[in-house]
Parts: sequence; C-alpha cells; structure tokens
Amino acid sequence: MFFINYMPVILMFAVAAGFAVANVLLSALFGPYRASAAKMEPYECGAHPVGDARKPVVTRFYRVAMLFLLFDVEVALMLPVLTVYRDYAFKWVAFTELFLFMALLVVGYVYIRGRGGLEWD
Amino acid sequence: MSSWLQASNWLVMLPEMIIAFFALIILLVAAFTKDSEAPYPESLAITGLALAFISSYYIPEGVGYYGQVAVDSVSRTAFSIAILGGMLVLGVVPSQFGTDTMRSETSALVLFSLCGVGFMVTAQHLIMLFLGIELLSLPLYIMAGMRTRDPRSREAALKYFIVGAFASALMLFGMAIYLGANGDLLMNHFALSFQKNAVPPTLIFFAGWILISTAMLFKLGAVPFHMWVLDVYQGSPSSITAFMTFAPKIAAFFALAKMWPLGSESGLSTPISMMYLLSFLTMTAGNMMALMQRNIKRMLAYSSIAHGGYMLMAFLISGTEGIHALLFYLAVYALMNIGAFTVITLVAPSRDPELSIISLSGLAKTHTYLAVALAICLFSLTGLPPFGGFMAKFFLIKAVLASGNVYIALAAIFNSLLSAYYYLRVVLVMTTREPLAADSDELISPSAGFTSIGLSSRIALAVAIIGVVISGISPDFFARIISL
Amino acid sequence: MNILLFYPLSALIIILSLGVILATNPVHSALLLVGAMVAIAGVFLCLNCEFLAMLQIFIYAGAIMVLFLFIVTTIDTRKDEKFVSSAKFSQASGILLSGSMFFLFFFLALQFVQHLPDTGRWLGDAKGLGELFLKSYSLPFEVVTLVLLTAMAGVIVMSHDPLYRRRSKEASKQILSGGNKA
Repeated sequence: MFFINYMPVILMFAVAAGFAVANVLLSALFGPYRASAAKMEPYECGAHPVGDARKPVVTRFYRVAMLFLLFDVEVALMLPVLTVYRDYAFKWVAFTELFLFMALLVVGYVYIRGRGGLEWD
Repeated sequence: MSSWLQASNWLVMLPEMIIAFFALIILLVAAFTKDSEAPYPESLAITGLALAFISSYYIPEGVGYYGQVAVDSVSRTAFSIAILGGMLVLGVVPSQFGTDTMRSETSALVLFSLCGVGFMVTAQHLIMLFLGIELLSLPLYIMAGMRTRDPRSREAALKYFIVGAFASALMLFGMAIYLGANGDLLMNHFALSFQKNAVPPTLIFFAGWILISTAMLFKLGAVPFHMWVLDVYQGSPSSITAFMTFAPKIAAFFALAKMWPLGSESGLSTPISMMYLLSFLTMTAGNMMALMQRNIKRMLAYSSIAHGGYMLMAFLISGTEGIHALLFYLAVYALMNIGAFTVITLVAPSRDPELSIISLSGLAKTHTYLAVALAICLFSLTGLPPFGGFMAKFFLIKAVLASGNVYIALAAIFNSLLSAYYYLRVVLVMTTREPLAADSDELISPSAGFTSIGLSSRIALAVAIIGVVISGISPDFFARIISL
Repeated sequence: MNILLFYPLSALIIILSLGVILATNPVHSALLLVGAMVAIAGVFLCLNCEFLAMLQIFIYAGAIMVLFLFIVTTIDTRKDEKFVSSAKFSQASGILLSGSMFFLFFFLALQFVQHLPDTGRWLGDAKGLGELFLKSYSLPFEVVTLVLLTAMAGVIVMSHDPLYRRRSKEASKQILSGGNKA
C-alpha cells in the first residue's frame, strides 16, 4: 500500500538518480581519458581560474541566505492552512489568522528593507 | 466567529499581544529612521510595557486558546515582575549603547524576550512552552553579541547560543518521549502523574520529564548546567546582563513549578531528593566559586547561580507558600541585580573596561551616590536586615523550615554567611582604597558621575534602590505593588 | 508505521550521521548531512506525515544546508583542516557521555516498544496540519512569526558592521577624487 501510493515519486527518484549515476559511470568506463593541463582546470565559463576556490566569502551572502530561510519557513507554515481554507466553516477566523500572519511577515520585510538588509553596499 | 472567540478566550493573552504590538511598531519606526536620529525607541517600549502591566490586572483568569495557555494569579504576578524589570532595564539601555548602535533593535528584542517570558509562565502545552523558550532566548543570544566589535561579546553570544541550542534539543527529545508516554503534549499530565494516589509514573514518562526539566535547569543555570553563565554574563553588555539575570530565571522557575511536584505532595521521594541535591549543589558551588573571582561581573554571575540555588529550595515546600516566597524572592532579586549592573554600566566607561574589582577602588570618593547604590545592592544580595534580600531569604527559609527540611535551610544560612565575604569585600574596596590615578583628575564631588549619565538610567537606578529598600522595610506594601 | 522500510532507513540515518561527525572534510560532512535529512524524510513518509517529509527536504536538505555550506566557506578550511579534536580528555569524556546516553535510551526504547503510539490518530498531511493550525494550535501558529521576526532582527544586528558603510563610502570617494585628478 505504501509502495503503491508513492510509486510515481519513487520512480521519479529512481530515474533521476539512475540517470545521473549512469552518465557518470558510462563516461568513466567508455570515454577516452587524455588529461592535459587545460582540461584539468576547474571550469569557470571560459575564464582562467584565479587563486583558491576555498576562501572566505563576504557575510552578506550569508545574510541573504538567512533571510531567505526565514521567509521560506513562513511560507511553508502557511501552506497547510491554505489547503483547508476553501472548505473551512469559519472563514473569517481563518482569514484573520492568515492576515495576522502575513502582516507580521510584511512588518519583517519592511524592517529589513528599511535597515538595508537586502542592499549590497 | 463568536464560538471561536469563546473557545479561544483571546483576552487572556492581551499583555503579550500589547508587548508584541509595540515591538512591531519599534521595528517599523526603525525601518524609517536612522539610528542616530532614533526618537527614543526605549520610551516607546516602556510605554508598551506599562500598558501591558496595567492590562494584566484586568484580564480574566482562566484557560485560553484551546487549552494552550492558562492565566492564574501566580503566572500573572511572575509576568508582572518580569515586565517591571524589563522597564527598568530599558531605562538603562540608552546609557549603555551610544546613539550609533542598534538601540531600536535592543528595545524590540527586550520586548520580544518578555513576550517569551509571558508565554512560558502561562503555557499549558509543551509546544507553547517550547516556543516561549525560543522567543525568550533568541533575543538574549542576539543581545549578548550586540557589541559585534568586542570579541568577548561575540564569544558570549556564541557560547550562549550553543548551550541554549543544546538545551532546546534536550527539551525536544524529552517532548518526543513525553508524547510517546502520554499520547499528547498537554502539561497537565505532570500534575496528574504526581498526585498523591496516582499510578506511579512509567519509566518513559520519567525520562521525558527529566529531559524537559533539564532544559529548564539549563536556563536557570543550576549547578551541573551552569558552565555557560560566567562567560555569557561577563561578555554581554552590562545592562543586558541585568536583564539576563532575572528574565530567564522567572520564566524557567515558573515553567518548572508546573512540571515539578512541590514538596511531598506526590508520594515519590525521588523528585524531593533530586531537588535537595540540586539546590544544595547550586548554592554551595556558586558561592565557593564566587569567593575566588577578581572580576565583578564574574563574581555577580556566580552570585546569581548561588541565588538560583536558594530559590530552588522553594520546590521542597508543598502548597502555595513556597511559590509565594519564590515570587517575592525573584522580585527582590531582579531589583538587586538591576541596581548592581546599572552601577557597573555607568562606572565602566571611566574605569577599567575589564571591570576587575580593584578598579572600583575609591568609588565612594569619586562617585558617592553610585557607590552607595552599589553598596545597598550588595548588602541586599548578602541578605543583611534592612534590605529586601534579607526579607526574601527570611520568607523562603522560614517556609523551608516549616516544611521540615532543616538541613537545607541550615546550608542556605551558612552559604549566606559565606557570601558576605565576597560581597562586602567589594564594599571595602570602594570605601577604603584610594581612587586609581585615572580618576584623580575627575571632579570629586558626591554627584560626580551623575552629570554624565542620562536621566532615564538615573531614574531606573533610583527605582531599583527604592524597591530594594521598601521590600526590606515593608514587605507587605511591596508585595501589594507587585500584586502578590 | 512500515517496519520493513523503517529499519533500513534508520540504519542509513545512523551510518550517515556517523559519517557527518567522522568526516574530516567539512564539505563531505555537509553532504552526508543532506543524505541523513533525506533519510529522515523517508521515516516521516513511513509515518504518513507527507507534509513533514516535504518540509524536511525543502527546508532542511535545501535551505538549511545552504547555510551550512556558507558557513563552510566563511571559515578558512586550510588553517584548521582537522576538525576532529585531538585532546584525549575531551575525546574520552565525549565517548563516555554518548555511550551512557546510548545505553540509557536503548533501554528506554525497549520500554517504548510495549506501548508504541498509535500513529493513525495524527493527521500528518497538509490538511490535517491546517486544521490543527486553525483550531487548537492557532496561538503557536502566530507565535512562530514572532520568533521568526526576532530572528530577522538578529540577522540585521549580527551582520551589521558599523564601520562598513563609512569605509565603503570613503573608498568610493577616494576612487572618485583620484579619477578627477587623473
């Protein structure tokens, strides 16, 4: 019963993973392997790589990622309420609750914009 | 709609709502103004807290929001104490942070933290308790690291956060086990299982209970879980440390009171002996380690651990008497610590930023009023008669003796005597030693120091000192003010 | 609960988690952690908690792992290549502590088997959660936003560099004035 319910998802997973693994394996097994200095360079869209890839990144990237995570969680929490909203008996309660939730979210957004949280420099 | 309103009994959370609303307003104002021209966010925050304090008198008692929270007289009083303390701390914040640091954020975070206290003391459901802990602690982690340029402050924030996250993980683990044992997360299973004639709790229930209680003990800084207190109290900005000494304690104590059998009311001996040991260890270890401190903030950190130990004795008393003594103790304790840390905040800039005790020498000559205020707080922390600390210890120890726990009461008395050494040493340094060279060119007059500090911190310090004195002279009047 | 799937999944979680703490390369640790998160999502699926499984993948394996990798980039991995503590005392105490915790919870788990909670009572899909959010959990639902707002303020405070803006302005001024001279 479990397998039947999730068969499409499992199939999708299997095909995706299988495709990736198969490609890597096939090219490793059958592809010709002739190394040269240019080929061993990391691929950087044609530009020559400069320095080490492992160097500290500016914290501003981190700030954006963290703010993204917070809004991500908020949206994820709103989803389940939206699924029952249409058939819910007390629509006003649900609406008020979601409105409050959104209002707090918007206050957070306005605050972040005002404080320059999303500015780059 | 109306049935929902009845079921939710939404008014019971009115104080928390007001506080959250004002925090949002502060954030919005901060979005549209620069830090340097901020229109005193603290005054906005204090207004919100005052409104919340007044409203807490008028809200109905009872269960609300489908049994998620319940307001009773104890939770209401505990929350009022936290609100009043928060107001005083907000008065001190402006002289700690200059005009160019994030004052609006500090005010908003203090409000959010107080919201968390409110949710924790009223929680009837472990989800609510957990959210309360997070809402209480997150602002504290942030405020501990408010001085981003100071490595000590950063260290404090990181240490506090990691220990707090560990405590939260323990709590969540305990909640999972509790859910397995009871089938839901309502907190009334604690009270039901610890009734006199209840079926003895299962091992699983016990494990969940221990884990959740441990998380609370982490927040209190009770002794096996106290190692974070020192560096966090030392590294945080002093006015924030004042807030840290009482807000998490109030919340954690009254959350613990809901899940711990008070005294011998359950037929079980294990909780009693555990609390006996915890209380003894906490007060003794706190005092022993405080004896060796050279830094005043570290000394006060250990002293707050020791006071946590005294307060844990309240759990050895059955009935409401212990809880009432605990409320009184917490109120006085909050005032004493706010007073002491306010003086430290005000003295720090002109002295050694490391704040060794020696750097306070001659304070009585250079800053007479501040020295007197600090001395009153330290006398009160020792438990000397005319001040509130004495009455608080008196009520608590009397109730402990009445419940028949003689040895722990004796231990508390001996510990208080021991603590006199390190508290009074500071007073001695302030009065007998000559001022350090750096201070000699300062204007030496009784009011020196007051000229350089803001009106708000002056008022906050005065209120704290008056509170400490009144609670010692007329405890009944004081108890009525905090609506005991 | 699908026992047939639960045992392989939990074995996978344990192996991957051990890999997280034993791997010396932080990037490997992070990738193994992604694997562990996905396996935990599988356990949620076994418990009929589809929505939680989805969140586990979206938020933990997706967004939070991005943060982990950012952290890995902010620390200089060359300098502290070895993430495993070499102090004998801390190793010994760590093994002792986790060992005793393991046995404690092993015996607890044995007790647990006697009264496994009835998973049918809980609605783990989005609709079930939505109804809970509208009724008995309406207050926690709103309080979560307050916690998130606090976190937003924390992001701003923590990443706020009082000297940064001034410095960048000075730098751009210097560049501009230099350009004028030339």
